[in-house]
Amino acid sequence: MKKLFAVALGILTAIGGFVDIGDLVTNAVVGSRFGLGLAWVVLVGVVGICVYAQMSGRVAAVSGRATFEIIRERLGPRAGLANLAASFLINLLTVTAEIGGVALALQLATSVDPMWWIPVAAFGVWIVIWRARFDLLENVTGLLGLTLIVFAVALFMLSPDWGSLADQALRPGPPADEPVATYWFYAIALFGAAMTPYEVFFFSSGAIEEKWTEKDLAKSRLNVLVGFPLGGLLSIAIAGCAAVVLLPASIDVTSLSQVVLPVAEAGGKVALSFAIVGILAATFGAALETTLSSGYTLAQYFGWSWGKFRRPARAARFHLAMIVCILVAVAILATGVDPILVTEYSVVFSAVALPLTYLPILIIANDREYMGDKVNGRGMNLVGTIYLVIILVAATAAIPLLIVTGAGA
Amino acid sequence: MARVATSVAVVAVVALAAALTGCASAASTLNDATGQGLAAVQTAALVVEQELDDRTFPTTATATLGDARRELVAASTAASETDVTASSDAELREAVLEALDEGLRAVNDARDAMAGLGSLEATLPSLEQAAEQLEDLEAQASTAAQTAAASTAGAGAEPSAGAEVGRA
Repeated sequence: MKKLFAVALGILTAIGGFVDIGDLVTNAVVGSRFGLGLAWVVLVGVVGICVYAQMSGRVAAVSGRATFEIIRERLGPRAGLANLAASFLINLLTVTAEIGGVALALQLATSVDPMWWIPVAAFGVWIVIWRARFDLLENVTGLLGLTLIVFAVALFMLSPDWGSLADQALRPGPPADEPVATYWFYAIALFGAAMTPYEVFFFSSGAIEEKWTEKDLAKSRLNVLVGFPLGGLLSIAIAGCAAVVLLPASIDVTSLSQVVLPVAEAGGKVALSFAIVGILAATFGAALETTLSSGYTLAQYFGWSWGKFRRPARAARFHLAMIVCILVAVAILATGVDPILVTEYSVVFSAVALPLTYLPILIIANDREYMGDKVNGRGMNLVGTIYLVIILVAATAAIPLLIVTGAGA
Repeated sequence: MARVATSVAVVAVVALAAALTGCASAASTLNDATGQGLAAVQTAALVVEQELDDRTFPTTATATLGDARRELVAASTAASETDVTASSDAELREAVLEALDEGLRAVNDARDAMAGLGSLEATLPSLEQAAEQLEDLEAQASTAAQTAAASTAGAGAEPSAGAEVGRA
């Protein structure tokens, strides 16, 4: 019974923890401009993150080492450092977006300018990381994030023309008034939002934090293979809500306040309350995960003592690095930059940086020295290689499309 | 050698991108500004309706109206900074600026009403009127942008044809 509860909890937190500010914003933007014409990208992204997380979780559980320890060991210090720099900077951008997202969610609840909430959100992230146990911070935010299911409920309550939605999803392509380049730019943004590298840094480092062994592999596989796809359905529901309410009204999403309009339209204040709690939990949880991921990547590369299972005094540089990251994120947001804009850039650059960490994990997952008999099977290698090609294409096309489309304008 | 080739490729891509992004016609910029303004006004109208039906929280409605106002100001700035070379574009710019201004006033009235100054219900017709105007202008700007794009493409393919259009 205890095991069953642990599995259920893992799946539920994986669902609730799947959606972050990048998913919320990008899916709503895409839904309001393309309807469900890019839903297929969510499916591709969800399968990709399942493959990636499943491999990195297995590598961590079997070898007892997290992603960046292995990347340095396998690629060498120089290539590893270049890899670290790119991954760390993207992660820092994501920390900034998530803290900004918390401030925007608090603005929806209070109407107080988000600039006032940014230091509060940052302090909240720091104190929770400093004080709370790893499982507590992961489970509480993940479970509260489940309230985002209200987007799926709202979609049903809006009584949409399901045939039209299905038609949009099954006949993908840009609408007549949208350029093809913009369509593909958002396809990459959506892919980057679904396959954010921090999720994997956090997942694999979490495996070490929770002292996974080979015995835990089945549980982790269930978490990933059930939790992430259900999280992906939530993402599609967010896009669906925007497609039903915002697209016909010519409302292109540019702010978080527009993301919740369909929910209020469908379910009034009760539904809106759930949505705001869900967004707050999702962004706060992701802010914790990205901040921890910043500490993990640095500490693992430089060989510092790290982990929430250690007292802060015993992992001083790990904690100091996270404090500096939070302060840098606050400084960026204090310039007045729009957190939604930061989010849009962070998901695109996530796609750009993805090969840097995906490729080493794919290589190590095939290395018998590290993995013994737990190396990738043929099927897994086939899927992993197909995804390597997709990731490389997305990473190569992202910046040219960003420039040509004026960031999807 | 490989480095030189890479550098040339990067410069070519950046130059092409700069050319593609920098060549937006006045009508295209005005089309974007109108679309941005229309989205903001429609957002404001939707949230005002929700507030009147008691389907949203006043805090959320106020935040949404604040975001809509910010978008309208940005659209207005973009439109007013658009350089035009034809009188038809100048007329379009004036009309767009007027419509955006009307939308901005309506959103401001709604924000004021949320703060207890005036009736929120009374702002709805102004928002709807501003939305209608922007919708019409968006259609006009879109047609003008398509015409401009077609003539640019024609000029690119056959320079003499462009010269003819210019003389005409």
